[in-house]
Amino acid sequence: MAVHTFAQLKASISAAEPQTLTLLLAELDKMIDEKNAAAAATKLKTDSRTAITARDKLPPLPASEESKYQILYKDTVNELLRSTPVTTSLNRLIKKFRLLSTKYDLTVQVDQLRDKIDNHSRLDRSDPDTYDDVMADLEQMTESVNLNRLRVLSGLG
Amino acid sequence: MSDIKPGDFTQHLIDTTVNEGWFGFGKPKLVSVADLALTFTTETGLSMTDETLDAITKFTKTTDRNAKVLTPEHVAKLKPTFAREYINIFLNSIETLTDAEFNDLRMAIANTLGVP
Repeated sequence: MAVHTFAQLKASISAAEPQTLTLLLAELDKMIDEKNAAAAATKLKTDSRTAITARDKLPPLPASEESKYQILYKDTVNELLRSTPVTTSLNRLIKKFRLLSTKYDLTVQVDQLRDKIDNHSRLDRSDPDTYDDVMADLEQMTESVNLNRLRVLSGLG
Repeated sequence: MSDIKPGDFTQHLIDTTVNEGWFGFGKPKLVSVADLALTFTTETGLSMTDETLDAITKFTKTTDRNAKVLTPEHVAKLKPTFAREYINIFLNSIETLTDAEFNDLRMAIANTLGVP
């Protein structure tokens, strides 16, 4: 297909019908949207790659530190279970956990915590919040805790 | 560009085939695919693609682009084809432009339509 110059294209506009121009404008705007979306995706990819590179460059956690986190995790869960009244709902439990994890700047293991909550017979399952919502909330919160820890380790915190 | 009013190149393709003033009886004029291509270029300054010209030639049921076989009704039916062709030529060429030229063209189109 022949390629036309900017000057030719600009001059042609006055000859085109409004309906045709309306369609053309929609196509151009679509191109702009696609270009913006592609740029955003590229930026996200670059940012992710930078974040991964930064994470990979972090020194390994010393064994003593790792152990410290494990102990903190255990302590937190234990403290949580010990202090949870019989009728505590899942929602309240999560809120409480959030406070504790912030206090310890803790890396939690979500699956383990999920098991703990699942096995916690004292929980009131009639809470209006669904279990899945609570779990999603928990995972989001864990992500946040992990990020905080990463920041501290990388000296950015 | 001819002296027809702006913003009507596809209509002009039809107008050129409507009447050749044969004793005032309005005898329809027949045009060829080559005539249409020439009018399109005269009006828009752009060249129709071979693919489109082939498709229109096929529509005339001949293989001769110079055969004057298109009636006004035929040309009217082809109106959407011309509009689509205009858009395709534009979009194909736009990839070679700078961002500033692209924005300039978009603004020129929007201004012509009176939209932001």
